[in-house]
Amino acid sequence: MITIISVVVIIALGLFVGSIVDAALIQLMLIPFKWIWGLIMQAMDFLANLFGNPSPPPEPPPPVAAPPAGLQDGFKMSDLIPRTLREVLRLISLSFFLGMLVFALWRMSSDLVKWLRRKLTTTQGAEIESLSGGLKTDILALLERIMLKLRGLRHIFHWQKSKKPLPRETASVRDIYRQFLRWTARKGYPMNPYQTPSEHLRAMESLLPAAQDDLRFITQQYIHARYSPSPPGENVLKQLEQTWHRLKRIQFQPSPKRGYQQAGGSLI
Amino acid sequence: MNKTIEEIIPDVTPVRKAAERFIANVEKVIIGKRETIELALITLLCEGHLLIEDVPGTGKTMLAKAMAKSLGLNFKRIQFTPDLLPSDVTGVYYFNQKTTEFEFRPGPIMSNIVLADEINRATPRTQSCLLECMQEQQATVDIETIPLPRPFMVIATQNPVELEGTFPLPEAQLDRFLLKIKLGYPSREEESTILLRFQQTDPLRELASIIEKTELLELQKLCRQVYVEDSLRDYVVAITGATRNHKNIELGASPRSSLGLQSASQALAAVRGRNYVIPDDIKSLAVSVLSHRLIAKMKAQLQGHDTEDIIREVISNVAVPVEERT
Repeated sequence: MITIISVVVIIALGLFVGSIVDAALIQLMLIPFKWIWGLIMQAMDFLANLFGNPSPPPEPPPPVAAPPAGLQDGFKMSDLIPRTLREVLRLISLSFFLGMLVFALWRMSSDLVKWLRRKLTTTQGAEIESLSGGLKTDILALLERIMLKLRGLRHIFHWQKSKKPLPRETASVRDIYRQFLRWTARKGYPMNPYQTPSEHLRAMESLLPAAQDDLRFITQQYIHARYSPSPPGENVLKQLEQTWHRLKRIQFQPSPKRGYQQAGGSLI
Repeated sequence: MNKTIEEIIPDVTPVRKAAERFIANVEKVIIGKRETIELALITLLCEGHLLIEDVPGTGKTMLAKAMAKSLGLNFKRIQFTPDLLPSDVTGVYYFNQKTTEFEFRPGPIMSNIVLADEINRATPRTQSCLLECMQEQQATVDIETIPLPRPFMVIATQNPVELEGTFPLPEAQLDRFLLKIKLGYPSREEESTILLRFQQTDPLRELASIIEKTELLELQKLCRQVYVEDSLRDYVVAITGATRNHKNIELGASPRSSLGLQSASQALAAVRGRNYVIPDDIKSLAVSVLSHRLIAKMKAQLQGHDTEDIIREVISNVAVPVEERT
């Protein structure tokens, strides 16, 4: 009985497909491929022209003989069904196919589970625990992981947008501090990577007691610009530039290395 | 409408002013321990719990009592002894013969400030009854869960020298303490001042309450809003992560300790009058926040390295988020 039904269903499906698929549909499906192929050919043509000696234009193809009159006016099954009905049938057949696919997958998985259960019941000491809703949870988890991956890709493509540019004042303060660090490094007192700006300040203050106020002002403004959410004011920036110009004119000898180490600095 | 930075990150001046008042008040009793008092205040502002560990007679209980008295809050003291039962801490349901009903008699834990004196003298069973109270701020008695009053803080003291008849606190319990502080012996001048001040009167009796409940809740809220820059958050994670991979560490810092280090840094920044955290805040608190949560390997202990030394080493090997050094 099942075999007969299957045969009938397959024949019916064949008829449906025969009625739906026509030359226009195939032409429609081929459009994207043709367009891509055209692009490839244009690109290749362009590359070939770059090297000179362009190939002679291809000869026009010979005229195609017109098909016999009898074939042009051939009978089609699709002509019997109106266009709207054909669209509806197409949708129905598509849903039918999808339903069949899901049904087949479900049957296969349930057969597999049944087989596993049979196997487990014959295994000594095995326990069976039903996981109601387990498949649903797994599918949701899979979808969630896919979404996470996609979100990660989005982050990669938009990483430059997510990096907010610093306010002008903040960037200027940080730039001055970078110059200050380069200056101390040139003098033989680079900042230790494990030092905080305040620790570096303490070390430098012991070396340049005369410039304590300037050193402190530069460091404090940097700390504010670097770790605080609010940018420094315009007046502060002007004052900072003046302080930095005054400080870099100070001469100090890089000789007492031991003294710097004792003050918490680094010579790495 | 978009809010400005100043609207999002609040002014923390009230925290700084309250901190100054609080420290000055407690200093009337605890002399020469300003930093320790500041750490205790940070714990209070973070809604954390404080473990004070030191040898007898250094002022552990005195500090806890002075803190409680400085706050206009409900205060209870529990003397932990080996025969103390969980119901002695949390409370008990008893049968009232007059009303012929079971009634709940709350234990001392149902207070704002609870002093757990000599906590390591109670059995693990009694110590464990504090786990839920400290983490979830609630106590389950029989089948009923009772929320604890807010603010809630446990100040525990323990003596590290006397081990006979004591039960070391389990890791789960230690992890619930935000900070562990040590008072240490006072200097000669400080001890002399203590003698003079306590000669005729007990300054603890005269201590006034200077922070009220509503004000404290407001200060705690302000501390949570202190700004932490992203790279500093990574710095906290890098420090706690480094403890997990250290060769001399058996048990590294938990994610709870990362949270603790961040919130303590926020509170310290607010106490210093800043509405943003800087790396120095994190560095200066790392030892107090992490040392009691780690377990050093036996080999390291035999070589004389304690967890505090290891944390100092970790800090000196984790790069501070500063400008690129080019």
